[in-house]
Order: sequence, then structure tokens, then C-alpha cells
Amino acid sequence: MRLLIGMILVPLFLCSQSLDYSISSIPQGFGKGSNAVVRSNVMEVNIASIKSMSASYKRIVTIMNETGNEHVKGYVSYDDGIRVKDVSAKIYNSNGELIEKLKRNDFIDVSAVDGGSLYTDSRMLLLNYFPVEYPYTVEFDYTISSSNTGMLPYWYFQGDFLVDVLYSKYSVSYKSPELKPKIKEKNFDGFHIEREEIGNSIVYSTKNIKMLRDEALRPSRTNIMPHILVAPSNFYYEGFEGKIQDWKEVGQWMNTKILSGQEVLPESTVNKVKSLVAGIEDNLEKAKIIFKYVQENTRYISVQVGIGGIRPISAQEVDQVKYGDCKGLSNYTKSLLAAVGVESFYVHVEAGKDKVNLEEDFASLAQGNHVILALPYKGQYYWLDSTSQIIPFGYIADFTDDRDVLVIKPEGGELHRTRSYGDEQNIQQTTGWYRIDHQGNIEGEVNIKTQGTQYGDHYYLDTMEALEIDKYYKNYWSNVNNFHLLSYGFENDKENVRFEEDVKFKAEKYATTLEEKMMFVANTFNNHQYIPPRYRARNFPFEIQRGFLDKDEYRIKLPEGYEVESLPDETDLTSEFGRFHLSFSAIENGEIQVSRNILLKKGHYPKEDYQAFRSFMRSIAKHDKSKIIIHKKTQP
Amino acid sequence: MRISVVLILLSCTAMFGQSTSTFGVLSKAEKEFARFDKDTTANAVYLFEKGENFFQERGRYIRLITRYHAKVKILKKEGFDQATIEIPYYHNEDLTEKVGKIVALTHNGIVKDYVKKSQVYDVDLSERWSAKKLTFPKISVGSVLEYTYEVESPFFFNLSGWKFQADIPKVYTEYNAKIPGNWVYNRSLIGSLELDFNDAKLEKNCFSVSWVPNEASCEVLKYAMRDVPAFKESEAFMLSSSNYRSNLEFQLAQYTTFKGAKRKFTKTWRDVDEEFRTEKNIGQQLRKKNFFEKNVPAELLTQGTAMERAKNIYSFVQNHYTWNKKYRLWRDNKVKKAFEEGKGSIAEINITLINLLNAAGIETKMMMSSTRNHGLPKKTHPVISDFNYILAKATIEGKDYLLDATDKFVPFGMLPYRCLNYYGRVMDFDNESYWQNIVPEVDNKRVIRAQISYDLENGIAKGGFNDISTGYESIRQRKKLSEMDEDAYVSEAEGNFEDDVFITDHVINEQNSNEKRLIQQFKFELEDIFKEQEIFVNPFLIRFFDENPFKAEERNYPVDFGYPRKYEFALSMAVPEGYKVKSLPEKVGLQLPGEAGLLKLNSSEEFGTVSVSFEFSVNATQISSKAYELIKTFFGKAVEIQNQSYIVLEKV
Repeated sequence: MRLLIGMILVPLFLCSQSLDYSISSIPQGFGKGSNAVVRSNVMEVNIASIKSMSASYKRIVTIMNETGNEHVKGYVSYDDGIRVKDVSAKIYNSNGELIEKLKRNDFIDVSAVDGGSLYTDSRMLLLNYFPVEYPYTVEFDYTISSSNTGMLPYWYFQGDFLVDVLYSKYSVSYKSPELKPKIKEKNFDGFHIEREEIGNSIVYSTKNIKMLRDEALRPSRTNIMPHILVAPSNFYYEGFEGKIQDWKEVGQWMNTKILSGQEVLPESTVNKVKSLVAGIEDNLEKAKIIFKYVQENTRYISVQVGIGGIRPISAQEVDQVKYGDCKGLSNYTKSLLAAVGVESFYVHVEAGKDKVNLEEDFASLAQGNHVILALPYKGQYYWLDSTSQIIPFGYIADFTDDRDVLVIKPEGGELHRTRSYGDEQNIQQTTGWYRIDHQGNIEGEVNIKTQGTQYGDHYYLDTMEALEIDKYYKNYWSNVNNFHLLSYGFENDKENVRFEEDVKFKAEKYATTLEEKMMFVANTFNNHQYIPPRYRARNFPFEIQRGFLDKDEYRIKLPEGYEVESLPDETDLTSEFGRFHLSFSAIENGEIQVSRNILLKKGHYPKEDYQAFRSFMRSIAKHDKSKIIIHKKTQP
Repeated sequence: MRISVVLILLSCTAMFGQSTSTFGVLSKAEKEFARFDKDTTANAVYLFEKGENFFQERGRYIRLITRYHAKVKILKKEGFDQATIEIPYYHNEDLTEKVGKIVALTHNGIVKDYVKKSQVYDVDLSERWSAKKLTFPKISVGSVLEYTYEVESPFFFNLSGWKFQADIPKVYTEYNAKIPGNWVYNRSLIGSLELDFNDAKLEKNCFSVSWVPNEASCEVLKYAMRDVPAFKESEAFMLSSSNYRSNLEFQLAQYTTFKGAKRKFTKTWRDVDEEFRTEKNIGQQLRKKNFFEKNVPAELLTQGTAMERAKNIYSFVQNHYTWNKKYRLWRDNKVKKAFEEGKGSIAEINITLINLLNAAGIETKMMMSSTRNHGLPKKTHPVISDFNYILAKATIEGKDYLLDATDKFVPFGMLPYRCLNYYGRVMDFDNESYWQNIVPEVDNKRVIRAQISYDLENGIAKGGFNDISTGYESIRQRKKLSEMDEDAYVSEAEGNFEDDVFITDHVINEQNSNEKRLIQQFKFELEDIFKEQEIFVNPFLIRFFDENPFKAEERNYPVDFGYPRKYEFALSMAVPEGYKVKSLPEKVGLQLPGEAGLLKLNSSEEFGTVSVSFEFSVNATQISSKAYELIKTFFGKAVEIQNQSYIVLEKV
């Protein structure tokens, strides 16, 4: 084998003429039920020196139907630091005949600005082809080069649902051993992915991966899809060289090359915040005042230019314009905290509803998509997200909670886990009453208190317009037909992270009248139980990422002259997933007391338990539909 | 008809306050303004807005100049998104508008913070539109954002008018124009708000260019409104908001160069007709009969009756083409190329259709129309940009048919939903053009006939249902069938049931289905059946809708359904052994005035079988906002019936 070393440096290009792109050439067992068949997907990365890398990409994909169009992936991103050397595409019909050739000029050159940014200098060359018939095949390739070697392309061998992959390959070659990148393999179990290392090159390849179906409550893609993470050990990025072996070194590099010098504030601002905390000794109290100051004086605006992809704009600049992105605002808060003698640390985190950890044993600059701050106080960390003007101090639920993040300390980086919100901390308490009249109309009052993650689902009501609030409640109680919102009031207790809603409402014909009787669904205020879909054969394990506890207590006042005919039986359900309790009792004055509790526990469960989980959720939903029957009292 | 278009007459009104505002300076009132009394929910408000159009010679060319000045006050935090603005500008292959003299600043009390030049970004919006984009610094509640800019344009048609109404209210908004007699613009005021100030006068010797000695006279216009409410979109079932938003529209009608050459754009329909007859783009594309005759099978144009030929051609074009999602009426129409590639714009596809129908000896005219999203064309005078669509109007055996071959699922004689926008203009090249109403298909229904029987011993129920859909409802179902695989389709159908149902069989009854009707047959099973003493069965195994689509307490704009629709449900249920019927759902019979809608529920029991039938129809396509409460209640009642009707059974 050693004899081949010289040859491996010659790029291995697929010989497209010899390939058959007709639909009949898709092997048996593939292409059925899938939206696309990736015939070949190849990335070849070459690190020629610490300041020079190139990547050649070629993707051949057969699109089976309209839904499959998103899998063409005919685009290449570039900016001032990345040059697109070649880009082209060829389109073949279902017989494998070439029907269109697209050259660089045929691609659309667009700004890659996303909804969240004011401006970015990233651009994209986009394949401009409108398909006429299905299936069709796209052969798309590009070559890019860059002097930045700090972030290397990662690779998913299978990354999408309902897509077959016939061949996938990633290779990286490097000029000398010190340029050898680190590679981490993820979720390879159950897939046959080969690794070969010859001389100064590493090659991963695989064949014939069958399509996967998406499923509700499955773990995040990063935890189920086979892929590799690739990161350099020695690199160059926008003017800075670096060497990263572990998270400590990532932190050190960030400190010396990226963050240093960005923390300077104008004297006047330093004086101003000092006066704000005058007389306060406690660091946490000081931090709350600074955080509030930042919330009241800044807003989130993102401008991404050049090294701005990882470097925050300076605290001084944020101070001038009073806006910034997550990096700029976090750095600004950090600088203000420092000005009043409170230490805090800059934090890289992968944000999102899905909890994704930074890899403990695999340090890289490319992980993380958001920046927050860690504030050490009495042996624990408080986590501050400076990008929102309305969240309470330290509140991070549903976005950066419960995951491993990089805390950048002066001496280097460390991984820490952010705060997790426990099942029973995520409380929603609903209390209230309503009165039924002789026509079956109802009118009453509800009070809802939310905490923990559930606070996050409600507190933004406080910022909504009246019409939107009206719409919100009509959707929230869409089980109550003819709902009218009479009045509402909110109390947002940011100090204790509790949100309280007081609502008065009425609704016509909530109860069905049947001659001398009336019937109505007893669970009026919290009747939206999620029933997970049924799968004929479940493939993935499932997760309840955040648990919760709902407690509902309310009274129903019956119309004059009516009494209870039948109440549903008391229900108690307990399973490994949680608890459910529902009971009804007739109390004095023609009133019915309804009491309902539901606890759902956070957890990761094997696919074998899915059926049981679904049954549990179904029975809850079924009991939530229980009806109360009342009738006219017989005249004595 | 459905939009209010008022031609502006020359009149004079007394002046009122706030018609001037100095740049960079806040008046006492502007500083102290804290709340807009007419709409206390407003997050931000225009204190002052002024726009100006005039013509000027710049670098030996005449240019249209737009000047803009605005002051926006932030009243709540939620109004911060007003602080990011885009100033759009237009360009084509050769020429571009230039945005210049941008000055933008934030006032916080007496402190002013200016946006730096380096903080103004250039972004692309579409092929022909770009924008200058910026955000104001140091904003907080109480800040006043002030900005001004100038656009220098070589495109005279871009004197397009003034948007009086925005998503936030305006205290005062004013538009000025100084238009030399060389240019003539048609104008119309859209929306229900009235002008507070409306002035037009003549100014002599107001405009000249260096290459002509004479001076032109100008029309000097000034229009203003005060206390303009924010424009709020209504929910479901609405025509384009552009029909209702207060807007002054200008359209270039005529231009006389300073050397005396006259160029008419659009003035009367007669001018438009004439232009179409001679015009290169569409007019010529419609004369490609020979090309198509050569490129389609001969029998397509000759075989069968006129109706058969028309239908064959229609489905030929439908199948031949894929719509590329472009409308492209007025430029780049290349019908031959489109035909060869099998993909094209709305115009290209339907021009092909018109050509082929005419080639087959079927009298077919081109009709210009506008989609529901694009707004209703103005009837007062021709505005070409009001149209974004081309249809074919074919006359077969004395009957007229409107056709659009761009959607593969739409049967002959029906139009896609997007086209149901009331009327269009038929361009008759031999005679004069004329307005033509668009009348939607009337038979659009979904009928579900179900039967169910219980096997209490084994705790299961079995049943089946026929699902018949016609017209637009059948188009919807067919699209769904083509987009989903069988598993997904059946799973979704199972999801429509109130209970946890297994569908054991699903077939399409092709024999009795046709292009306007789809019949599907399902069989299902149900587990975990009741055993209680007294039970309540909701007959609506499947619900057409379980929530009222109308939630808002009031509505400012008409409800527009597009086409009449009808839903029918019937259930036949064998009374389970050991039980007897105690009560049945109460009869309901409701009718909207003018037979605009009907709602009925009937139930009966005979020979151990319970029958329940439900009918819900909306026959009117449009309901005025005054009748909103009524239509909302009507839908509410239909929801109530579906969710809350019960057959009560009791153990014998």
C-alpha cells in the first residue's frame, strides 16, 4: 500500500461520462418512497499550508418529486475570506440524458442575509434551475479556496429524512503532519462507514444508506445522524494564527486574539454605571442592575462583516449606537459588569429549543451559534442572555438551558452545563370559576400563574397588542366555541420569574342542552393535550426534553334549578412518564369542583416504550373529554 | 365596484397646522407627544411625513426627483422595529435610480445621534429592486427617528403616488408634486379615508431645460391627511389589502418631449387596444398560430367537435407545461422558447393555449386579469400594472369559457382559486376591449356518508364512509393525494377522526369520479368502545372544521370566500345491541338572508338505525364587513353542531 502514497495526492475526480444517470440505474430497494436519491456526495478538502486550504465538492442527486427539490442543495456560500474558484451544474432527465448545463454566470448571486440580520457580507451563488418533470438528476460541483483554515467543513453521511444515499465520501489531505485535523465520528453505529488513513490523508466513505423517516419526539439530528466533525489543530483565521488542542486553548485563543481590547468603555459610561450601583456591595444585586440597564438601553441588531463572524463589536461601539448582536451585547454587558467590579465570562453555546452540547472531547471554533455570559456567584453560575429586552435576569429556558457550553475564563476555556429547569419547576397553575346559565352559556374568570419553562410560553403576552391578545386567548381556548374575552390583566414578576394572567370571559352555548338536561366537557381551561402520532414501526428513541407540572382547580356554578346527574369517575394514571389526576366533586350551592394535575417527566426513552407513552398521553386526552351531565331538579 | 376610487377634483381647503416641519429640529409638540389618543395601542407613530416629486435637469438629462422627510416617534418598546428602514430603488439592465442625501438621526430630548455613512448598507430585494438599509442608533421609548433622502430617477413611470396609510398611525402626512405639462398622470385615491387637504393649481414658467428656450407650466399638487389610522389586515378569507389601504396612485399617461414628440402611455381603453394591436410583445406572441400548427400533432387541432378539440387542447397545454411560478406579463415573453422547454410563465402558457385554440378554429380572446393577492383592477381608467394575469376566453357553441392551463389539477372550465377576483378585461383585437365578469364554479362541495356498527362483545366498532368532493373541494383533495404517499394520506385521514381510528381500506372510485368529482371509499375500525349505562355518541365521526375561522370581534374589510361551498355529512348508525335510543340531536334549520347560506341538522330513528344528516352551505362569495357578526355566528353555530351534538343511548 505504501507505494500508492504518491498517487493519492492526485485529485480523484469522478468520471461523469461513465456514469448512468437514468432512473433505471438506481439499484433495487432505493428510490421507493424517498423524495431524493443522493447518488454521490463527495467533499475533498486539501490543506496546503496553514494559510491555504481548498475544498472541492460534487453532489449528484436524483430528485424524485417536488418535495425533493430542497435536496438539490445547489448553492455555495462565500465572503471576502472565501473565494469560489469554480461552480457548475448539469441537469439530466429521467433517461439520463443531459438537458441543461449551467456555468458560473447562470448562477444567481445573492446576499445570504437571513431574517435576523441587518446586514452580512456573506453571499451565495445559487443554482437557478426550474424543473419541468420528475425524476431528474442534478450534478452540482464547486471548488472554493480560502486563507482561513480555522473552520473546516463537517460532513453528514446521512443528514436528511426521506433521502437515500448511495455513496458519500469525505477526504482531507494535508501538507504536513502538524496540519492534520482532528476528526470526531458521531452516530456511526448501525452504519457501515469506512475510514482509511494513508500518508497525509484521511478518507471516510460509505455506500447505500437507506432513507430514514422523521418521527415526533426523536432526538436532535446531531444525536442520530451519522456525521463527522472536523477541526484543525493549527490554523489561521482572519489575520491570526492559532493552535487548539482542547477547550482550554480555544478559550485562550479567543481571549488573546479576539476579545482582548474589545472591552474598553468610555469614561462617562463607566461613571454612569458606577453611580447606578453606588452603595451596593452584593455582586448579584449589582449584576441585576447592570443587566436591567443593558435591557433598557440596547436592542438586538446583527451586522456580520469579516471577522465579525466571531469577534464582537467593541463595547465602545455598542455604547455609541446602543445596539449589537449576541456577541456585541454580551461583550458590552461583560464590560459594564467589569466596570462595577463584577467578574463574568464570555460563553459560546449552541442555542435552540433542541439541547445540543459542545463536544467534551473535541474542541473547535465551529461549535456554538450564540453567545451568553456566565456570572459566578457563591459557587454557582448565573447565565445572562443580553439579546432580549424583556427576559428576566438569569432566565434561559428553552433556548440555552441544560447543555454543555464553553465558558471562556482569563486562564482559558472550560465546559460547563447550563441551568436545567426541573419538571416540577415548570409549573402552570390555573384556577377560576364559571357560571352556566339556562341556555348553556358560560361566563367566568380564570387566573393562570406560570413559572420555569412555562413562564417562557406566557410572559410575552405582556408585550402584545390588544387585538393580538384577543386572538391569543381565542386560540388558547379554541376548545371553547364562541369565546369572548371580556377583560384581562397581567403581572410579570421578573424578580421571581412568575407570570400571572387574570382573564374574564364568556362563551355562548358551551353546554349542550338536551331537553331537561345539559352536558358539557368538564376540562374547560386546559384541554390541549398533545397526542403523539402513531407509527406502524417506530425507529428512533424518543425524548421529552423538558418536563412540566400543570395544576388546575376550578368551580362550575350550575344554573338555578339544576342538579348534577352524573359526574365522571375520579382518574389516577401513573406511568414512568408522569402522573395524571382528575377528579370532580359536587359541593354546596349547586357547584362542582374540578381538580386536575398532570406531571410529565423529562427523559430519554427507548423506542420500545413509545407505544406505552402514546397510550398514556391518549388516555389523558380521553379523560380530558369527560362530560358532566346535569338536569333540572324535579319539583317537589 | 368593490373598491372606492375617487377622482380628485380641484378644490381648495383652508390650511391647517403641522404642514411644515424643520429638519433636525423638534417642535415642542413633537417633543412632548407621548400618546396617540385616537389609537392608544400604537407602538410608534409618524408625527410628520412629507414627500415631494418634481422634475429637474441633471447632467443634461431630465430626472424625476423624489424627496422624502419623516419623523417617527417610538411610543412603546414593541415599536423598535420601526427603527430599521429600507429605501428601495429600481434598476434595469441599463439605468438605475440613485438614492442620495440620506440623513438619519435619533432625537433623544435635545441629544442627536446621526447614522454614519458606513452604517448604511446596500441590499438586493429582487431582480430589479435594491435598497439602502439602515437602523437608527440609541433608540428608546420616546425617541424620535428622523430621516430624509432623495431619489433621482430616470424612470418617469416611477412617480407612482403616495401611501397615506402604513402599519402605524400618522399624525400628518403630505404629498406634493410639481408636474410640468409635458407629463400627464392619471391618478386615483384608493381606500375609504378622505383627504383633509386637496389643492391643485397652475404655475406658469416653472420648468425649463437647457436645450429648449421655452418654459413649461406646471401643475402644483398638494394632498394631505391627518390622524390616519394604522392599516390592520383582517384574518381568513380576504381579497388583497391593496383594495382597502389608503393610497394615492399615479400612472404615467402621456409624455411630450421638449422637442415636441408625444408618447402616449395609457389614457383610454381605446389607446390600450390600439397599442396591443401593434405592440411587439404580447400582440405578436398571440400571432404564433403557424408555429404551433407545425409543432403539435395535427389531430389535436382537427379531430372531434369544437368542445372535444377545446378540451383536448386544454389538457395538452396543461400537461405540456410546468408553470415556473412567474407571471411576466409585460416583458420577456418568449412563447416559442417556453414551448420548446416545456416551462413558462402564466402569460406564456396561456398565450400558447390561445394560439392553439384559435388554430383549431375556436374563437378565443386574451383576457387580462388580476389575482386575488394583486388587487382589483381599477375600472375608472386603464392601469396596466393593475393586471398580472392572462386568461383565455373561448367561445364554444355560443357559450363562453374562461380557461387557465397553468395548474395541472384545474379541470376545463374552472379557474385556479387565485384567479377568482371578479372581473378582467377581454382584449378583442378586432373590436374594442370590454370588461368580463369572472363567475366561479358553483358546485363545490364535500359530502361524507358514513355508517358505523358496534360489536360490544368484542369492544370494537366497524364502519365505512364515502367521501365525495366536487369542484374546488375535489381539486384540493386531488392535490393532497398527489403530494402525499398512501401511508401519509391515510394517517392524515385517521387524524381527522375524533377517536383513535384505524383505516383498514382506502380506495378511489375512479369509475364514478371525473375531473370535477372525486369519490373515495374508506373502511375503518375503532377500539375501546363504551360499556356505560348511558352513553353519548357524537355522530360527527369526521368534522369539516372544529374551530370557527372567524375569531376577531370586528372586521374592517369584506369577507371574501371566492366561490360558494357546501358541506354535507350523513351518518347511519345501527343501535348497538342491548341499548336503546334515549334522545337524538335537536333539529336545526338556519338560513342567512338572501339565501346566502344554509345550516341544517336532522336526525331520526327507524328500525333500529339512527340517521343524522347535516348540511352547511355558503352561497355568497362576498359578505360585507357589516354582516360580519352574522357570518361569524353562522360559522360558530356550525362548529357547535359538529362538536356538541349527541345521540344518547341507554342500556335496555
